[in-house]
Amino acid sequence: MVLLVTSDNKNFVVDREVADRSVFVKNTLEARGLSIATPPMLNGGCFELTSPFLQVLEYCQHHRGEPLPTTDDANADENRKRTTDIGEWDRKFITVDHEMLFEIILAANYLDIKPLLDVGCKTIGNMVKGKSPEEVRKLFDIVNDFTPEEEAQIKKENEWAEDP
Amino acid sequence: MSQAHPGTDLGIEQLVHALGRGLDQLRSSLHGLGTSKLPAIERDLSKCLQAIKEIRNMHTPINKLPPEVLSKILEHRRHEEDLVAATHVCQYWRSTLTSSPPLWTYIQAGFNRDVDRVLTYLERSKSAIIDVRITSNALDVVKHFTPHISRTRSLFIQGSLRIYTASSCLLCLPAPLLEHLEMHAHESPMRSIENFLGLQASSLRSLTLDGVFPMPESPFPLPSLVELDLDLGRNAGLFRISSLFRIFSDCPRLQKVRVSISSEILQDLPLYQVTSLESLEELAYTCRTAVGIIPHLQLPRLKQLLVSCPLQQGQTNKLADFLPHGGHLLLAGATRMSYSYDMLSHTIKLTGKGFNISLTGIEPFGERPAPIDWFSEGTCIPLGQIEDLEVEGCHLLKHPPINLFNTLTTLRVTLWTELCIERHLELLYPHPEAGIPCPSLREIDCTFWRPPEPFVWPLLDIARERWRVGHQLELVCISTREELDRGLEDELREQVKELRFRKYAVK
Repeated sequence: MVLLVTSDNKNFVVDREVADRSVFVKNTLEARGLSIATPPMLNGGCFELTSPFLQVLEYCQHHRGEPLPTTDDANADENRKRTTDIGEWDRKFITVDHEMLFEIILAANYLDIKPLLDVGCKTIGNMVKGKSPEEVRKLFDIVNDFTPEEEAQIKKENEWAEDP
Repeated sequence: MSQAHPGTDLGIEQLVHALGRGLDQLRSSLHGLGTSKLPAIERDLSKCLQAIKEIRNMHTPINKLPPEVLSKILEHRRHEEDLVAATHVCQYWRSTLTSSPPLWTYIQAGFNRDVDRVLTYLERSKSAIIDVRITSNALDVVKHFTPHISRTRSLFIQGSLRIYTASSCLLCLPAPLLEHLEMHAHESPMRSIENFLGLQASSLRSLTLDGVFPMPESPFPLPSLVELDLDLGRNAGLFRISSLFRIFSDCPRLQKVRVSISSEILQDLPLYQVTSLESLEELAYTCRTAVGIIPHLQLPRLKQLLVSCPLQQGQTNKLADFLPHGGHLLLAGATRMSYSYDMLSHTIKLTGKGFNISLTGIEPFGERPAPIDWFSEGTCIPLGQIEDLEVEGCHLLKHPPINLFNTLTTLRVTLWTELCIERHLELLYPHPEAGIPCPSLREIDCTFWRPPEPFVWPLLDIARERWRVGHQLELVCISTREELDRGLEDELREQVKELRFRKYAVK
């Protein structure tokens, strides 16, 4: 068993197999020979961490025992990038509001849980698929902050972008 | 341009919102003044507004994601348009995505008007390894790729001969990182390029030449090549077999080769020249002459062989003709064999655990085909391992060895004419000297079109003799003689424990 302490001082005791889904935690434990890890200090601890961490733990519990992606298989990595398919369980798991989705992605990125990061990125990728810039802005509450000069350049890019 | 992401501060955010609204109002009111200083004021205000919007965007939840994650999201894009559209969302997205070279490495050009897009991709990909796809008539674009061939991982060129003429500079330069090269030509072939890829393509793993043959006459070592696909049509001109063997000699790691040559072939190999391809596992070969290359190959690791070539009139193909010199095809484990014949071609397939052979012969139309003699003595089919036999058409065997199907458990037969039936019965009838053939046969699936009346009854005899209670029998009859089939069905039901009888009446 491994004790994980989050930046907001919440303790989580999990199986080593579950904790090892995070490459960050795995490496930390192996390097220090410890059973306690204090990994998550996301963005300087500026936001509540327990909530996304619970979600991350649920993901790791579900996928415990599955082979971890290796870093030396370039082709598999390339294929992984090119596919936008998400498994049934993962799809349900990641069906959360935007803010939670972003926090799960941040946590997965920090904790180095590549499959979860992929699921999150694919989910957002699927959201923007086929959308115009204006539709993407509306979806994610972004405003157009380009200067007129940049707008002109973008307009020029649109001429070739629309007919790939 | 901002990429820093301080944490969300609701107070600041509200303030920024309020400031933005105020400035918008101010701009609206200034519009009414009409003084000469207004344009300058307008510009200043625009800058302020743009800065405020940029700050506001920094605090929107998605923009808390660090640049590397935002880039990763677009790595999973399905269409290139999504990437370009994403760079038009806001400053943060644009600066992040345009400065992420891996996103801009897949570059395709189909027309001359694509030049701006290509230049943009080449610039944004910086020094990253690129994948290039040039199709149709992008003649003006090709030259822009020339300085980048050294960082090209895959190159696909398709189009008329003009595109290859335009690519000649590109194709003469060393391509040390090139792993995949695919060239398709619509018109007459391009000729050999003596300095093809600068004779340096040590990373090349797969090579597809469709309608073109730019390989040089001189040695061109391709130590990493594992897959070769060569397809030359009728317009390709005279093809020297020695050219193909030069590639074989230069590529010791070849694992998969597909060769299809419809053009004239010059068999210019010395009679006894033999090349050993130690790693080759799959070979598919289609050409105008039956024994073009295979007698000159040693293929100790061959797992799959597909040969398609015409029969000479009056000639019978022996499997041995297609096999490596002195080699044996060892079929491991269960083996499945199927045979089919129609007026134009016949095919024999052998599949086993990790093994598949398919041989097709093209018959001159309208001529009576010679009986196939695949299994006569001296061929390399290991007897006693075939478990599943599928036959379609006639002329299965000339003289089948009596023990050929000792391990046969399943027989599927589709017969089209009366001529062929007698031969198949030889497989099944007890032989006075050799005893019951096919002792392991458990399942027969027969489809007969226009079965002759005398045929069905011998089959029934065989069934009575061979299948005892406990065996399953599936007999599929397609017949115009419905009453005959019904009688057969009744008889068989008495003989076997479970009978699946599918019957189709064909009018």
